[in-house]
Amino acid sequence: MSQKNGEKQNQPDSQTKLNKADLISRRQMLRTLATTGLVAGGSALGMRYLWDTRGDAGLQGPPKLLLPSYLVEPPSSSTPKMAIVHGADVMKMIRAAVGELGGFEHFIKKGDIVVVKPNVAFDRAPILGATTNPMVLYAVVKYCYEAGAKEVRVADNPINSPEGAFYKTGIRDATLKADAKLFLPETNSFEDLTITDDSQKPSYAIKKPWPFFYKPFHKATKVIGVAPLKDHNLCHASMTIKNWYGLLGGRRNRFHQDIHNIVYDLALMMKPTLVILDATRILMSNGPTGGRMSDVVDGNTVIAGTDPVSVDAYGYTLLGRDPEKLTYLLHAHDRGAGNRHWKQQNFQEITI
Amino acid sequence: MRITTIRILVQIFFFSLFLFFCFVTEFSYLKGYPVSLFLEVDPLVAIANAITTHTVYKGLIWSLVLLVPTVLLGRFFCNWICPYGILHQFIGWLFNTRNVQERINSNRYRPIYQFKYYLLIFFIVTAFFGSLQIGILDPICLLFRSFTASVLPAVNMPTGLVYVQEKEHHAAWFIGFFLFTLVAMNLVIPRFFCRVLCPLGATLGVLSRFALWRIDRDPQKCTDCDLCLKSCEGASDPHTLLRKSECFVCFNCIEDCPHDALSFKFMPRQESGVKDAEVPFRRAVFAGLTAMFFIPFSRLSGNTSNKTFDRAVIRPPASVDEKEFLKRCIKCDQCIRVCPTNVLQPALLQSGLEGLWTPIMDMRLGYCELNCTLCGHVCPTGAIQQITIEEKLGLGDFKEQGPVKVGTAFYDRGRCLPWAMETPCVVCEEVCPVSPKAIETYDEVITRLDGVKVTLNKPFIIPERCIGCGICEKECPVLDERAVYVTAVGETRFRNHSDRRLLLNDKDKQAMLDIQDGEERVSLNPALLSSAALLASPSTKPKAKSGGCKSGGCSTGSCGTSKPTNNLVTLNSKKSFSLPVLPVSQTTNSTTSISLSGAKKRNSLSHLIASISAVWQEGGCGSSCGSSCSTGGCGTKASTVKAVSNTEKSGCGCKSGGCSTKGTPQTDKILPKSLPVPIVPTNFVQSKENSVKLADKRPTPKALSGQEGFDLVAWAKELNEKKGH
Repeated sequence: MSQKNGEKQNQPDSQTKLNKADLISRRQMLRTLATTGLVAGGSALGMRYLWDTRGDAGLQGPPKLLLPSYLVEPPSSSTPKMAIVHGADVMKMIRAAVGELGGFEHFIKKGDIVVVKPNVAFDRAPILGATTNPMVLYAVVKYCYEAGAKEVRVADNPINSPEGAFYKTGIRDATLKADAKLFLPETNSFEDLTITDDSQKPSYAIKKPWPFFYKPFHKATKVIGVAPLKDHNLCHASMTIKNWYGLLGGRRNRFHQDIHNIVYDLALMMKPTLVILDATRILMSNGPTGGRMSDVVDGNTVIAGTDPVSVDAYGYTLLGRDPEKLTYLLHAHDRGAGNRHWKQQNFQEITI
Repeated sequence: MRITTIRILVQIFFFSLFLFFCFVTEFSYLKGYPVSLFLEVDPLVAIANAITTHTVYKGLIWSLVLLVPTVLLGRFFCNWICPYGILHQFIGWLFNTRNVQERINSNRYRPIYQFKYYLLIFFIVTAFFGSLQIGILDPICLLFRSFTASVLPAVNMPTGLVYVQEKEHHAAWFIGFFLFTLVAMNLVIPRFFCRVLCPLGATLGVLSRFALWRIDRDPQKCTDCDLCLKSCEGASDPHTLLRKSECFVCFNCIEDCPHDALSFKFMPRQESGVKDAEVPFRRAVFAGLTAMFFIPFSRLSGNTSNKTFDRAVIRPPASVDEKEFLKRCIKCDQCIRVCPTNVLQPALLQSGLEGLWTPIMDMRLGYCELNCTLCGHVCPTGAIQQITIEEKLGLGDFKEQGPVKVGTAFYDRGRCLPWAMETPCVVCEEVCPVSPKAIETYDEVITRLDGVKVTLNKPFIIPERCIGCGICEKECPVLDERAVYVTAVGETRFRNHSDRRLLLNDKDKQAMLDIQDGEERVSLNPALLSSAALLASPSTKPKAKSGGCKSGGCSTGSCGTSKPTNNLVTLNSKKSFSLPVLPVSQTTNSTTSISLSGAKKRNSLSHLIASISAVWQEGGCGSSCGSSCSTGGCGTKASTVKAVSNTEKSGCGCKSGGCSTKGTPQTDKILPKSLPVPIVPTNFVQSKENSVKLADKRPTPKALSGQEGFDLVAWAKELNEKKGH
């Protein structure tokens, strides 16, 4: 009842007039009917549009996400696939190692966005050998920029708290010093990644899409893994392939139930441009965390390669162990992810 | 400019400052900001702590900054500085629906405003009986706690602005809604919390009885229009006899008075009169009696004593003993805010009624990070003591004491995958941060039901090594009820004062001891050494005189008589498995430790971070040690595995301080260019003399040069200087 009608009601007029005034106006009636009709009709249309007859339409996952291959063809067939460099000056060693494979200029083209993946799993001081030597990382980033990279990104998903781990390992400083962009694993940095869609070479352990630290890989064109050489309690050694583990998120603590197949799947997942095994310091025992100086020896070596399986096979010998007995390397070799017979490959060993 | 405008600007400044401190109380941003400042200037915290502990802990002396002006000017804190008061005033203003007359009536004094004094009496009496409860209602503690547990995580949820990884907090809903309820009460009674509940306001009210300045009403000019009550924040009756203890010194009444009858005066005349806080004696006694019974009632309910303590009461590292802890903790939850792993949580009743909102660890949400003592560094009252990484890990001077343990891990073999379900796992062993690991395994090859042979590593705890950090529990894949879990028993507390220890003797204090200590050595697994020997090709047999130095930098065999031409040779020889030990005198960068030791206490936070951060120096055993080692008596013994361990015992020249005496000049030609690896963080040496002494023994670090313009040592220095200030 509007104010207007109310006023009329109060007028001391005749009974008939009063009754008439009680009725609502035509305009008001139309307006009320229209509003009711719109709400009712709108709800019906909206419900129809959202109607899920099967019952699982709201449960569809995101579209399939795969990593492209970041491989670069070697300059010629005679170029070594692996370079082992011994020495003391890390900058020169990295330059020499990649130089043997064709040089940073061959792998990194102008305008490339390069993801460099160090191992920053724990909040250890760099000397304890549990993480990538920041100097090695610095060298790699710097040479990438020299070769013309537009942007270099450094990313890892540590086991310890990310900020602390990056800070205490010196990786944060090396990254910033080299003007690379640091990516911390934030809650929204992950996307579900399909390991491989190659039916000839299926993944063995990660069958479904798994949360992957995708943010740094968005629009990236090249990937370089920079892994320290470490003992590992369960899979015996953590080297360049195991390094990709740090890009996965989610409940990766379940990986240990089938670790060797997991490492094989990682080799399938990532086809890097380059891998660099940082054996400047080697964690010989109590891996992968280490913690004491007596766990570490000086290796004074870096190994660069395009086949992570060969690089790891060689790296395993530096731990004083027999690569013939490392299950995940056998898997990777047998299933065609790389060549573990590093001696038969074309490799170069130099000392600076 | 009007005085109230100035006040509003000051309020905006202090509230922003509070928000800023809340935001930067985090590993990435904490650069030595005095984040505890609001808590330290809070006189109630200082007074109550002085009652319980008979000391004024460190920064609490800052409370004088507030205490003295209050005695002069009155409760100005409440309406100028207190962030919680500012929040209340702002909300009351923003959501005001009262007209002028209603506002005047809502700002008249009511007897319920006495209640805060009874609360204060309650808290002070409980403090005399050894239980610090002020933090439940102290506005600064309450606001910081609410921001930590509820507001910041809530802001982070849609925006992701606050944390790198989301944080969860126990009872966040309660803490959050408690804040909201108190703020919402402004719509019922303006400044409800400040007038009715605030124990800090009551403290300042008592102090302001002696204030020399106060609002003075000139009865000649006053027309009794009561307009001065329109915006009176404290309900202090400026229209009649002023209640000095209630006045917030907001100056609104002076502004609102149409007749200029009010002014803020130094020692005004008596006839305008003052009314003291109304606290009837009998009611005050009743409040005190309640407090006296509060202690036995809560303690007799269990959970506080060593007989019945809850296994979940896992206190942060270097917390003082539980009884002392309850005397010190003000429940401000700054430790929870700064904790990088989300392990710290506000307790509910795990430590009894007294322990409400005190910090405990929930290892399902996080774990205690090994190289981190941030919680102790932000604690304003010393409930968590400020210790160094060195003390936490039991290094150097703290070797005898051993590492700080917060609890002990236990296995539930009925839920553990290798023990109960024939499934390989041992994530727990992988992540265990101590060295040697506190988790070892019984290895067993079994044939599974499907005929497949699997190796099961069945884990168990070595209690002497376990520090209770809980990363095993955090990473255990048996999510809902972890197969490995940490309980409080076995904790050491600060300086081993806990009565909740587990072992008679922690006989194996080896864990982590040799990180920086030249004399602590643990030999490598002999099997590893022998396999290395097998792999070494015959042609690479090490020269008898070339190796054996036990220091890190020398293990490449470079300290022999000839310059190594092929490092692979030495790498594959067993010599490379000699034990690299960095004596403390070599690992510590002299410049750094001096600058650290010269630190003032206020800056210790930044130094913590500086010390955590890598201190860069020439690699390992570099020039100084390498030279001495070549002739240091260990050369010839290193050719066999056995000899390696012998040399350890006999001691190589690389022990701390030994290098320089044994070094011979001939070696400088054959030195390798030392490896530019960053060095372990220096423990920060607190005593100045000590560090200088060490520094004197130490060789001067040489700058690395010729590395394409990138000088790590200079960089390190720059880094430390930056962090230091």
